[in-house]
Order: sequence, then C-alpha cells, then structure tokens
Amino acid sequence: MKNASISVRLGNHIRRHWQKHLMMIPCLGILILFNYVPMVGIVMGFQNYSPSKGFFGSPWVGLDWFKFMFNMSNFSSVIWNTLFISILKIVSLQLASVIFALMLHEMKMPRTRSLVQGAAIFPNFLSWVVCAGIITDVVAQDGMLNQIIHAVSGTNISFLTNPSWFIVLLVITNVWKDAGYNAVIIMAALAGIDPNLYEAADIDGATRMQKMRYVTLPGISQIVAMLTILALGGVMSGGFDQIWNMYNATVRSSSEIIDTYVYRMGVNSGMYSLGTAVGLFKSAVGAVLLLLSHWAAKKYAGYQIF
Amino acid sequence: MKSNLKRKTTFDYINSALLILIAIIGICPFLHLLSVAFSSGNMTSQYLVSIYPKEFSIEAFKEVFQDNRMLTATWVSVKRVFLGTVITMVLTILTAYPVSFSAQEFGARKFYVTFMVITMMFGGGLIPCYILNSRLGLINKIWVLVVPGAIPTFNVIVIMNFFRNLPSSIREAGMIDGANDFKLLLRIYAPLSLPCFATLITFCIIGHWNAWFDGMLYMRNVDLYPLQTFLQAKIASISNIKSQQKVEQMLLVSDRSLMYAYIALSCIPIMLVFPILSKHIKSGLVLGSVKG
Amino acid sequence: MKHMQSPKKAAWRILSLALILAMLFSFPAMAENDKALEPYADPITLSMIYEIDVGVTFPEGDTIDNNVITRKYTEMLGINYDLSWQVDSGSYSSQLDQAIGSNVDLPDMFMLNKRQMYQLAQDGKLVDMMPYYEEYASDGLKSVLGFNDNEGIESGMIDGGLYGLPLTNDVGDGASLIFLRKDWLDALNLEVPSTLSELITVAEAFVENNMSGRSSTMGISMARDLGFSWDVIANAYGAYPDLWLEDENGELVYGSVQPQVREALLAAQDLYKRNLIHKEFAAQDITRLGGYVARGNLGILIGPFWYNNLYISSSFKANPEAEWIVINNLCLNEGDTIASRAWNTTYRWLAVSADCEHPEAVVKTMNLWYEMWQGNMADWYWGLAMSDEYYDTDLKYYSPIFFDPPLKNCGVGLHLREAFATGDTSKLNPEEMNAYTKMTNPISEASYKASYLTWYGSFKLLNETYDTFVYTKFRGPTDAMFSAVEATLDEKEINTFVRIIMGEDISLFDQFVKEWYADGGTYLTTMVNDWYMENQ
Repeated sequence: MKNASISVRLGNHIRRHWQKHLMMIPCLGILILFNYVPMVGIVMGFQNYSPSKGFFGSPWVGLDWFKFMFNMSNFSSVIWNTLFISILKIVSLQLASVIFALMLHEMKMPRTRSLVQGAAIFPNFLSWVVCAGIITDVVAQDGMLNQIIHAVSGTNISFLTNPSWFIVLLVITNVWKDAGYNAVIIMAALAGIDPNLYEAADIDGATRMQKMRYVTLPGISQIVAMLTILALGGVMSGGFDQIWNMYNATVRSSSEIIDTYVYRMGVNSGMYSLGTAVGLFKSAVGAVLLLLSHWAAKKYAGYQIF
Repeated sequence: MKSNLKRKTTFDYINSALLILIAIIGICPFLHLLSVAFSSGNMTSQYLVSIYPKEFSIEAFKEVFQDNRMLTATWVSVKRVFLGTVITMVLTILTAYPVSFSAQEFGARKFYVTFMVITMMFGGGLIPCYILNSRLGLINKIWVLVVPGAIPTFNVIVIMNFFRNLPSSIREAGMIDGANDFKLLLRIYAPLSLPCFATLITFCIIGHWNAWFDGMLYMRNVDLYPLQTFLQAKIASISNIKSQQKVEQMLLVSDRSLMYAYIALSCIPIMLVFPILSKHIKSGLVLGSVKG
Repeated sequence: MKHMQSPKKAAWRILSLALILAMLFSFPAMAENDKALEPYADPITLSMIYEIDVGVTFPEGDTIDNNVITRKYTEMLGINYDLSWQVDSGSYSSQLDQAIGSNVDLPDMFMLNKRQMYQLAQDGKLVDMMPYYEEYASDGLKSVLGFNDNEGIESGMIDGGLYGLPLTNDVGDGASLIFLRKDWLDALNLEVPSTLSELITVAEAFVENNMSGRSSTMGISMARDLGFSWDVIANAYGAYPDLWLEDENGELVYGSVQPQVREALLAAQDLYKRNLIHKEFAAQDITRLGGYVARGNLGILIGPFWYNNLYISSSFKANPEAEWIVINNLCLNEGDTIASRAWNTTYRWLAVSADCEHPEAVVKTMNLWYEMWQGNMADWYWGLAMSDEYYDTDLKYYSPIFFDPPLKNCGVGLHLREAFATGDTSKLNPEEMNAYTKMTNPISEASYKASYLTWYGSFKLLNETYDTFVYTKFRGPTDAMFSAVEATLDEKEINTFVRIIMGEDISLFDQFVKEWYADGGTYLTTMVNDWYMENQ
C-alpha cells in the first residue's frame, strides 16, 4: 500500500513537473561534468601527487600536507593578508559607494549627473589587466600621481614597493573600479524611497541633514546591509585578478593572498599537492562563511538567497 | 524634495564641484594612458609625459595596426562574448525557472539548489580541470572559454529572485496540472523579466570581454588568445626585462607608448557599447529581489 | 671566503678555454662529424612548443612554420617543424607547468627550466640525450655547449643522464660593468676611478656639483631588486650573494649568509646615508633608472653590457652632449684583484620527449643552427640578414630554436677592433662585417656611440675578465620543494637587505642568517652538498 502511494505521488510529481526537470538537465550536465568531476582532484591534497601516477596512483600521505602548511613560516601571514585585505576592501567600498550615491542623489543637474555617473562606472567595464597596466604606471615612483604628491608635499609615496602603501593602493583602486557601479545599485534603492516621506519631512521643517538621517539612510540600509553580507561570504578571496596583475616581490609579504599563493605554489612551482591542500583549506573556511552570510542575509536583511 | 528642486544652495554647489572633481580624478588614468600613447618614444622613455601628450606622435599606433594579432585577438573576444552570452543566458534562465518555485510547489527544488550551492564552495582546482578539458579535446577550442562556466550560480540566484517576485497569480498558473512550463517561461515570465535579463546580459558581456586567465591556460596558439589574454601576455613580456633573451626584442619594439597604444585600442570596442550597456546596469536588479 | 679552484680543475678549465677559443677563432668552424648534418631521406616532423616573440614580422605569405630559415632546415636536414603549439613568452612557463602537472602529451621538444626538467625526468617523460649528443653533435656545437667546464651540460644531468641540452647565452649577460658619464668626469677634472672608494668619491662629486643641472643628481644606480649594483659592492668585499661557494672544508655554503655580506651591507647602508644611493631606490625598478639615465639625472649606471643598448643609448639620443665610458667591476683597495660574479650562461634547456621518434634530429637541428649562426653557413645567414628584405627583422626569431655561443660577442669585438686598427676587413666573418658596416655607416650619432661603447668598451673588458668570473658551484637538479624553498628565501633575503640598506640595524642581518637556516636553508644546504659530494 505504502509503495503504491509513493509511486502514485511520484507519478503525479512527474506528470506535473517533468518540464521543470527537463529544464534542469543542461545545468545538471554541465555542473556534473565541469564542477563535480574535477573534484576528484581534491585527493591531491592527501597525496604526494605525481603527474604521471595520477589521482589514483600517487602515494597517499594523509594529512601531511596540511601539517606542513600550518608549519610554514608564511602561511599565517597569507591567511592574515587575505582577511585583512578583503575586509578593508569591503568596508571601504561600501562606505565610498554609499557616500557617492548620496552625493549623486543630491545633485541637481541631471546632465552633469549622468556624465559623472558614466565616468564613475567606466572603470568597471575594463579588465584588471588593463586597469593594473595603467595604475602601476600612474602611481610609480615618478609617475603622474607622485609628481602631484611631490609638488604638494615634497616627498614621494612608494605605492608599489612599500608593503603598507601597497595595501592602500589596492583598497583605493578597488574603490575606483567598483564604487561607481555599486553606487548605481544603491541609487536604485534611493529612487525607490517613497517621495511622500520627503514631503512629510519638509512639512515638519526637517533640514537636509535630518532628512538624510531619518529618511534616506533607513531607505537604503537594507540594500547596503545585504551587499555587505554577501561580500563577507567571499572574504577568503581577496581579488586574484587585481593582485596578480599589480603586485611584485617587494610587497608580497603584505599582499600575498590565498588565491595567488595557491597558483604560485600549486602550478607555477610544481607543488601540486601543497597547492591543493591550501586551496581545500580555503574552500572549507569559505563554505562556512558563505553559509553564515546567507543565513545572516535572511535573518537581518530579510533576503532569502536560495 | 520637489520643493527645493529649483533653489540651489551652497551645499549644491560644493556637492556638484566635488562630484565633478571625483569624476575628473577617476578618468585621469585614462587621460594619462592616451597622452603616453600619443607621445614620442623619446619623451616617454624619459618619463616626462603625464596628462597631455608631449611631442605628439602616432608612431605607436601605426605599429600596433601592423600587428595582425591584435585584430585576431579582438575577433576571438567578440566571438567569445557572443557565444558566452547566448549560452549563459539561455541556460541560466532555464535553470532559474524551476528553482524559483518554493519547496512546497516543486518538491525537487531543494535537491537542485543544494547541488548548485556546493559548486559555489568547492572546486577541484586548476590541474583536474585542465586534465578534464584536455581529455575532452577542448584545448584550443573556443568552447573551453564559454561552456565550463556557462551557469554562474550568482546569475541563477538573481534571475530566480526576480521570478519569485513576480505577482503570485502568475506563479500559481505554473502549478496547474499539466501547465506547460516552457510556454509559461517564454510567454509570461520572460517578457516581464526583460530589464533583469538586460542587466545580466551586460554582466555576461563585461565578464567575457574581461576574462584573461582561462585564455592563458587553454589556448596553445597566440592566434587563439582572446584580447585580454593577449594584452596580459604583451604587458608581461614588455615589463619582464630581466630575462635575457627579451633584450634584443625590446630594442626593436619596446616602448611604453607602444604598450599604451595596445591598451588604448583594446578599450575601443567596450567604449563603443558602453553607453548602451551602462543604461542597463541601472535597472535595479538587486532591489527587485529585496522587496520579497 | 676565497674563491679557490683545485689545480686539476683549473688545468681542465684552461684547456677547454683554449679549445673554445681555437674553435671560435679558426673561421670557419668545420663540422667534422659527418653524422652531424646528415639529412633524412624521408622528411620527418618534429613537434615543439614554440615560444613566440612579440614584434616578429614575416614577409607576405611566410609564417613561423614556413619561412626562409625553416625552409633551410627542411632542405638541409629533411626535418619539418610542427610549431602549432605556440605560447607567448609572458606565459610560457605557466602554460608548460600546467601541462606538466596535468600529465598531458608533450611535443617532441620544448624549452624548460631546471625544476620542470627534474619533474619530467623523474616521471620518465624525457629522453636521456647523452648518447645522441655524443654521436651527433658537431664539434662546433660541443665547443659551445661545453663552455665553462661543461656548465650547461652538467646542469642538464640528472642521475647520470642528460635530460636537457643547454641553450647557452652570452658570457657577459650577468656580469656587472660600470657605466660612467665621461663628460661629467671631465668637467670636474676627475680621473676614471680604479677602486670602489674612488668611485664613491666620483659619485659624491656628481651629486654635490649637481651635474645634471636639473632638480637632482643621483649618485650610484640601485634598483629595488638590488641586482647588479649590489653585486659590485658585495664583490668588492669578497661577498658573493646568491651563489653556492666552496668553503675551506670543501663543502658548499650559501653566499648570502656569509660574514662578508655583513660588511658589504654596512658599506651600502653608508652610501644610502650619504645620499649616494637614491632615497627611494626600493621603489625603483631598472626601467625607471633607465628613465633617469635618459633624462640625465644619473651618471653612474651599474649593469651588464646590454644596459648600454637599453638605457645608455636613450641618453645618447636625448642629449648629444652625453659621453659615456664603461669600466670593470672595482676592487676595494688599490692593488687588489677583483673577481666578478656572473650568471650561469644557461638557464633554460631543450628537452626531448620520451615519445620522440628521432631524438637525434634535435641535435641535428642544433648543429645546423650553429652552422648558420656561426659556422659554415654564416655567409648565407648573414647575407640574408643584411639584405633589404630582412634588414629590420631579427632572423633568429625565424628559427625554431636559437642559442648564443657564450664567447661569440667577445670574438666579434676583438676582430672588429683589429679590423679598425689595421683597416683590413678581410678576416671579418659575416656577422662581424655586419657590425663593421653599421659602425662605418651608422644611422645616427647616437647609434655610433652606442656601438662604440659596446665593442670598444663592454666586450673589450669582458674579453679580458671572463675567465676570472665566479659562478655558483651548485649545478645539480632542483625539485619542486627545493625551488619553492629557494624562492621564498630569496624574497626574504632581498627584503631584509633592502631594509638594512635603508638604515635598519645590522643586527637584522644576523637574525636573517638564523632564520634563513631555520626556514629551509639547512634543507637546501644538505641537498646541495649531497649533490656536490657525488658529482664533484
């Protein structure tokens, strides 16, 4: 009897939903082939991987690479750099985008406003290859920016070789590239604020600042919170494209992140197993953070992601 | 808001001035790029060019135009953007539709969502992917650039949330016995979601245009490089002076002007479509989904 | 630490040098081995990874696999080249690493570095080329690849097999020279310095008198990777950073952690304090320094001969008044002798896949390249290079492989100077004739000055000093772990040394030495000495 009811329910389900399942087939196929099959490679992290012996023939070493990893002198700094750079970037980007969006929102000249907006979005359309190529020249020792800084303060700033200034450079260029775009999303939220609220505030004699404090900011808080939470889920990545194209050996101590390290070790130095182990560690921590952030997004921003 | 639309205060002037300043600072790097590209090699090798060209010259551009590989690479990128965008959009929309129903409505939803979320967290790394793609015979094929990443989970989520926020009466139609899901998606969902699609198409175009890393991994012939990979290799080989064999080659062509001419020209296609694309970024895709 | 040689080695060295010189100067070198260029009756095809270079152009209809040079290979040897796997030089190593790690099929031959060679040899993917090399290499090729006590060949050996044929470079590629603004010296009535301290006095005079006439004059060039300038200072103090040297017990020790480095660092620190090294050198790479040379802010540039073409020539171009001379690496005190550190002439090898059906074809290819470039076919090659059609291109990029005999340029310089002295050009080989014509009929004043500096300056000096160069004693194989540890420690070393030069206390050096051993230096030392004991 029970079996019968299951098969009946299954029959019903298929009859009603077969087209939905059909739609999922390409997705299943692609994900299985290109995402799940390569996961076999995770075993490399537990082996002494040798290319000719492959995933199934390389000698098993258990957790040796993970122990090795935690004993490495530079591992903790790589983790620290990743978190530090990511968090600085997230905070600065959100702050800058909100301020920029508010300023744009207050601007009264529509033509100029769209020009400014266009200029701000433009870097977002370019690759880090192009952007890094330009930036490293602009901020170089006697590049354009340092000529200005020199004229103003009499000294130069070694953006590309001083480890601390390089972090500043990463953060600023990240804002330069992405803030314009982020601001557009926030402006969409601003446009969605009920105009009646502003009128009511005007009637109450609210100043511009008060309106911003009590009407505008609450109107965008949700979207900002959500953007931040989503970004926090990716805190274990610090922006491979940007750093790979901008950094050099002199500033590596402060700017080597997990992703660049994994590529340098795992592929460019032939330490395949170590690279996999470090990557796996990143994935595990990243997975926890991602789930946390999505849980938080639902709880605090009322946004159900999945 | 309306009441003070006309009256401009000091705040407005300061605000506008600041914004214009920000915009100018924001485009300074591009001015620099152009002025170096248009300056003579003599001036640029002395690092004397900043914001406007010195000893105006178009020699660098002439040389770039002689390099057929630049055009070849641009064409590869155009093909990639076209194929990538079409494939990704079709597959993402197809995938997003079923999972936009709640678990009560569509029982298998949870399985599919979990299946996708896992791929967001774990991956095999470069080596296994390379082995797979080479076994599949995808090396040197443009498909390797567009198929493996054809379903970005982020895009699925965006479309899924947009669908979820469509009026519930529309969704309920999909629950009727024997409802034709394909028809529903095509006739009802899709027309209502065009602004959202437009935004994602913009993302796809930018993403595919700017991708360089996979081209470097999987293309074994410089003629098959997409533009950004070509540029990356170019920049790397120009600035990599320590390797000794580069030296004589650098004597022939190396010049910052030349490198910048390459970069400047590579930006032209994206600048042409920028006015159209930038409009679609504004359609507020995330906002739509927050309401729900 | 003294750089010592065992008498036996020294004798062998002199013998081999004499042999090489004899080879080089007895023009044209004959390929006595009749198998060396024996053609295949049925043409065969060799596939390879071709490192493609920017800026190479071909006449209409020609391509990289089918051009005037490759056609010659096919005609002479019956070998076709499948160059469909092409990688830009910027990503060559990464792409090869990816392919190696994924165990994909590799073509018949390809260039690789030491670590890649070790990995593939361990996996049984490469052919031991020793039998083929011995049987097929022409005498000319053997003389080139055997340079410096068989340095390149020995570094290509793993467990007794030869897994990579060295692609040699010029002997002067990594040897420091000192370029000086002669017009500034003359204006200040200063002698050409003959010791390091005199050089420092000159630098001081340049700075104090603001010879640039611009906002600032810099003393001695120094870039953020320390590089050649650091070598000059270190060598004067008997320190050889980055090299593995023999100590008094016959064991190899790492040069950068020796006490002499401490002295050298203090000296460099002093230069920095006195503003003779640019305050922001840690932010400058060599191209930036090149900019200062061109603009005339820098009058002392330290680097190898090719800095002349890259940087000094732009100074000639930008400023017709500029006169440069080049002098040798300097010793600390009057009367001392100086032994300069040099790079190994080989840093890449040509490996042959175990699946290759005709490994000897690779050796034949190298033989023919040698004949074209330097041997019996040089007339043909250089005639082509000087023809109108190919005048603006560098024909060597048309060849699937190329390498430079390490002493070639020294010989060119020698013959060129003789020819100018006697007016007799009949003894010049085609390449030398080419250089001769370019000097007698220069395209510009700047180009003449640059050529003069190269042939009468750099290569005159190098020809006198190359046999005193100090090379690393470690030529063994390096596995992935070795090179990863080495790379990490190298980075730490540079960063520490930069900090010390910029004024941090010298005790940082002692700490560095301790950390160097603790963070893997001990491991490196063991590996290096294990190899040395076996192969000395």
